[in-house]
Amino acid sequence: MSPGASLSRTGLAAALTLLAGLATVPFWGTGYGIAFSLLLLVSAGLALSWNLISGLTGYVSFGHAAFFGSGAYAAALLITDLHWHWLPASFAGGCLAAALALPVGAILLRLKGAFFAVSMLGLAEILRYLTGQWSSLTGGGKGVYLPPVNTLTAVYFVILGVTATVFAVTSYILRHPMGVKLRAIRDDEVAARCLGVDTTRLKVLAFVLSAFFPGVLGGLYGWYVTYIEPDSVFNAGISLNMLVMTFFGGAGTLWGPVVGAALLEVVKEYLWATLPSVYMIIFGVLLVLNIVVLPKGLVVWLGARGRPAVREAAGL
Amino acid sequence: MTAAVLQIEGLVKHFGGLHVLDGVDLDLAGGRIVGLLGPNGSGKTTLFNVITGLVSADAGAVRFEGRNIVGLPPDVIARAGLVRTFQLSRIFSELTVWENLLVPGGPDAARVLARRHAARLLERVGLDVALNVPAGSLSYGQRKLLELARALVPNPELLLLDEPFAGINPVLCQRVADVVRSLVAEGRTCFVVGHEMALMMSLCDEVAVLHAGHLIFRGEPRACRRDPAVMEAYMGTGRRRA
Repeated sequence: MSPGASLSRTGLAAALTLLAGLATVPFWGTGYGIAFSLLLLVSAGLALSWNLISGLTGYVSFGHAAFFGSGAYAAALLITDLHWHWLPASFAGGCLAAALALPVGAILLRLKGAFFAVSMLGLAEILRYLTGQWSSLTGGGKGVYLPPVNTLTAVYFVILGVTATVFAVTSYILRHPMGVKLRAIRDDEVAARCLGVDTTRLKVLAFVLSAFFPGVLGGLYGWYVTYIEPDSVFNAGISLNMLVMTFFGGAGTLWGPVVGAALLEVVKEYLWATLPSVYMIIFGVLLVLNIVVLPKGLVVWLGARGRPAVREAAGL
Repeated sequence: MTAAVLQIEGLVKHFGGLHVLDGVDLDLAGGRIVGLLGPNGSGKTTLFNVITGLVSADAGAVRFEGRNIVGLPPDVIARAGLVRTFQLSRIFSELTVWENLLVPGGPDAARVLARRHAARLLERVGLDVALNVPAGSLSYGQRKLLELARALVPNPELLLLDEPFAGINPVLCQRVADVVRSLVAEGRTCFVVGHEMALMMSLCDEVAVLHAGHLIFRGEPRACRRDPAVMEAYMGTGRRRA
């Protein structure tokens, strides 16, 4: 077991309290509050998924929107063309994203640094282009319309469950020697290989996991917004958000992506509501400050400075 | 002397026009300490890199326990029982000391999941630090010891130690030498690169000397000191005469 990386009792209590609190939102929240919480959970789930490959191994992906978009389209087409229920359709979207990630990871994870990052960006762009051109299957640039949602609460709970599952999977991996080996890859992949670590197999496994959940969330997101088009679900901004939120909170940590997603979504929403003309400028400045002042992320900084209880809860 | 654990046959490695290894033949008998000597740039580290699969060979074969391992990935070679350390220690500085010991693969590696076993490994190499200390905070000498302890985790048959004595104090050098002797006493084989002549001569059962990609000497350490080819490689006597 990896010391320090496990979900401690305090951390588990914090996670369960947060989960319980979020589960009550549909019962007292306004329509806006539920919708905002739902999108925040999607962001947290995406950031946690991105963290599984990029945060743990250091293979920074600029194109995880490829998996979000693939899942969204797969689920949408299963719902509209084959009349599947939205729940199995969304999970089928996750399976498709994972199936896509397997050969893609086996090939692209041989590349390092910027080469991998840019090749992932290229993958997302290729999929965006293909989806836009393949009108007979995907509706092309017109997108896909889905039936109106009358199951918002159910969608909310499923998204909450998916995000909680990515969190639990991350916690398990960090506690398991697999997590230590993934972090060793980030530190020195050559040394890890010379110690008998099958780094290719581990990276592909982490990559497939990190693709499955965005695929599911893409399917659920499409069902929730009732309309998807290539530019909305394969958008580079989706990949960038995963990266920014994870680095803001702390890449490679358990709580970093959650904290990053929660804080940035709240700050973005607040700035958008109060300073609509300059909110993106202020948001950008905040991100730059974060990278300069807290390069390892907020959670790591809090853990280093906080009381033992904070460190324990943060898994540091 | 037992059967050869490692057999190197006609190993060739060129980097462009530079012939770093030019037909190296060498056998390592099991249960012995073999030193690999040679001036800087003679091809010692490249030989280690080719043996461990980090660099591909242009020609020749490397047989580990009878199996040709040329072309196999480094992780497969390591899991087969051939583990190395590096000239400049490559510990995982973002991980703790214990986590460093948890990285190696192979069936025997799971034992270090027990704190007690991990602590015993550290004790064996003389590293007196807590398991949860960040490895990045260790001194250079401590890093060398941690790297050695980590290399022992998969229970290797053959250990390739690339300059284990470089940059560490004489007391630690003796400690490392004692660990190497104890490993060989357990039946393992150690192939050691070093520049510390007195220590290498007292430690090794035999030495091999590389010069400009050629093996110019193979034999007992005492004989090495008197060998004209070795003297010329190190002292340049041939050039002085000319």
